[in-house]
Amino acid sequence: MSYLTLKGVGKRYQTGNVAVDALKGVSFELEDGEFVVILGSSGAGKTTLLNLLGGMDHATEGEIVLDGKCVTALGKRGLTDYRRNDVGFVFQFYNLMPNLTALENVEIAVEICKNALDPRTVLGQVGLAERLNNFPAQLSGGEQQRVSIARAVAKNPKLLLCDEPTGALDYVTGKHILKLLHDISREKKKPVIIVTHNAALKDMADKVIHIKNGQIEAVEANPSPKSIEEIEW
Amino acid sequence: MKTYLKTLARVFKKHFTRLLSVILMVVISVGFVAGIGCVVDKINDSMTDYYIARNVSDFIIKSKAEKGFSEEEISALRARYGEGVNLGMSLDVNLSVNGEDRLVRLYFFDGEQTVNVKERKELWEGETPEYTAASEQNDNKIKELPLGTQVELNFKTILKQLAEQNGGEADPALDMLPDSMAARTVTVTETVLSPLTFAVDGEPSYRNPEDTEIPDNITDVNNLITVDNILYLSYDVVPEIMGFGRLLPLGDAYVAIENRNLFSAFSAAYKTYVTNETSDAEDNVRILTLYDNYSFHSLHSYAEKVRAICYVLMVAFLLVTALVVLSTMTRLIEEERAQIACLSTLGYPAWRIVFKYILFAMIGCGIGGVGAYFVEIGIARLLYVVFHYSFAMPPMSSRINDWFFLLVFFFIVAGTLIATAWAGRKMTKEKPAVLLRPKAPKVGKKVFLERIPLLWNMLSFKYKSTMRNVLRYMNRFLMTVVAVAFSTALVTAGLALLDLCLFHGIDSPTVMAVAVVVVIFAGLLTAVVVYTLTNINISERNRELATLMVLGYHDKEVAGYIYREIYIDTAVGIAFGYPCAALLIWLVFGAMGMGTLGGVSWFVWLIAPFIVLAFTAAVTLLLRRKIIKIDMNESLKAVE
Repeated sequence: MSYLTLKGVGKRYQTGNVAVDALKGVSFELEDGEFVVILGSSGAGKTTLLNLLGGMDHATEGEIVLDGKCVTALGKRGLTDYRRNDVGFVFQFYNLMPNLTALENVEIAVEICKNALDPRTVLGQVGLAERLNNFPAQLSGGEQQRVSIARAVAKNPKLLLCDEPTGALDYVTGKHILKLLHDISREKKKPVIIVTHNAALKDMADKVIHIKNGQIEAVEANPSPKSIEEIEW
Repeated sequence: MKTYLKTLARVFKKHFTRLLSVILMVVISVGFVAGIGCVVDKINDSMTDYYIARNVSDFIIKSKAEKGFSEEEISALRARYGEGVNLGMSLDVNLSVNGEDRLVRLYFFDGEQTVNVKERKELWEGETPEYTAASEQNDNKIKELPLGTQVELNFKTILKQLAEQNGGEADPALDMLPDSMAARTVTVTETVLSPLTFAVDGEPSYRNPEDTEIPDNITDVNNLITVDNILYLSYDVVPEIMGFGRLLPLGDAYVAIENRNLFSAFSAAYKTYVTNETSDAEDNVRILTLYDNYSFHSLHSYAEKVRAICYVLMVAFLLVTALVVLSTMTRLIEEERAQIACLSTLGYPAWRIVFKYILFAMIGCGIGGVGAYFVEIGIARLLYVVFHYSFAMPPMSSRINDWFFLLVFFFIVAGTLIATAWAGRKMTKEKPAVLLRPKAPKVGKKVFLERIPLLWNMLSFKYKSTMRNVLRYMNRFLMTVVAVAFSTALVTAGLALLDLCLFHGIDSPTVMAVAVVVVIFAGLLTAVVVYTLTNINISERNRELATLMVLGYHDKEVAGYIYREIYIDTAVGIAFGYPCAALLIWLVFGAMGMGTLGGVSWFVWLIAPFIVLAFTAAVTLLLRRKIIKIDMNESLKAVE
């Protein structure tokens, strides 16, 4: 069995008599340490998939198993614990707590999980050793996203989920962030999943999952991923 | 226009809880203030109607001459005041009634009595005796005197007592008179209620020294001599004996001025008129006005106390309401930022954009005003009923007298209007380009506490974050503190009034009822204030709360993030509430002329914060659902 397995996962929204399938029959498998890009245009169902993987929503059908744990079987409280200990989330708009310093923003995630890493060390690894005591408003967008990544990584999760992590960043900064995420997947031996509509990113992924109209269009393994420096968009 | 109206309807739907806040604030504060305030007007109107209906005398002139008023004096009075002058005699004497020695006031009226027309309660149904009397209805002090009771009036002893009261000697020739000629037996055939003795605490006797101050409450009247019974008789009862003439002179003139329209029992104009009319009284008469009448005086005094409480508390209530409505509308307009930007770029003029929110506020105030009107009527009715414990009140006047309600209501409406227009103007003044960008979240910064590492390091991480938040949103913090401080002060003042009645011998159901109403409404005010401000807090921090949820914080921990702030705000508010409470109590007691700040029982200061905390806790429980219902996905998308 693979590290992460999705089997026939679907999400149906019911509004009155109208049922909309945001996601249908999604199945794929990932191994640890894989750098994965989920690619699709807007409205394709990327975010829905990410929400299901991240334990922010319940699937209406199918099964998600992470490292032997069946996520789809968890209740509300179980899902909260899953988010707490098993997944790290990186958002497009960082979502840092504005009243906490960089260090404290990592600490607030870490103080509730079991196998957390030392926040200072992780912030050092993302290159923010000098900015520990700065508030988000005193940091650039790239720096804020680094804090957000450090917050996700320091939880020492089994899975790192990134929603358009470069979406709000300029080209150069975006590249730095992607490099950082890529390095993490290699060093920590944890799968990193990036959800994006930017097709250029597929060349650096170990695996690309194409998603369209709520369904998997193709799962494409990339035997020779390019390094981030070679990618242009 | 159609689409514009549609967006208006959406504003109502989207901001329903805000509308509710505005409505509740108006209902509570306007309803309370107007209710407590208007009861005085209700009493005033009812008493005025009653006095006019009963043709009550504006003053009673008592002659000090042994022979009473002369023909010339009576003609002069009639020339001046017209037909509303009735003659008679009144005196307080000890009589044996039903085998008991009682102090009885006797009124003898000459001819048909047209002033001080009494309300007749029961009428004798047997054969009419030769000499009849009407007896004042019994109450706390006036003793029972059933219909059919016979009372012997011996004018020899009556005259002796009268002479003794006046410090003189009765005519020694009286001793020569046989009792059979000087005595009359009267039978009680009616029970009546006089418009001059409707206070149930007792009617002070003429036997009190002439310079006795008219008491204004039951505690003081208890120190005076009060009459046990009042009998109303015809002057014909007084025997006329050869050589003596009438045994009692006509020593009273009851004067009701002709222009009854002038009569507004509580008005300053009336008081001035009466004072002017009676200031040139000659030495040989004593003039009693309504202001010397205990019933009138004490009712007037209680009513004024209620009004005084109202005026003092009004300021706190209306200020808190204005503050909270202002922050509600400011926040609402901030949340409409994107829409305002959109309308602005489409070329809608600022006034049209802002008008929508003004309309929203006005409708909230309007609905609240209707609710407040009912609350006002309810409180006024309740307090009017409570006045029945001390006074035989006439039915409540149906006169519509809403000036006070309208005044208070318009103050709130004007305040809301200005606040909304101001907040809207601030927003529309920005360039649309600026508005289209999301507002930057409030910058986090170190707070002064962090400069004291000893203290700061003692705090757990959770509390560090809370402290920063509390101080980061300084405006809201201050507003909550001010509102909670005022609420605490109001609750404490209400409890202090209650304490005064229960434990310090101020035996007044009226003040007690007011106290209960104050405590309840101050508590409700606290609840709505905390609800409104916390609601704003939650919506401002939606993203932060959603982030915590994604990070795996449990519902309890997420709610705690907001709760800790509320409780810190409330605690600081209560701390500041104490001095405010002391000031308020001092003002209220001062205005009422009873009670002292130092005399307030210690437990009042202990209970008040618990009441405030209880209302706060109730609200936090109510808002828990709102916090845990936050949609993580929606909240984490691009800033609106």
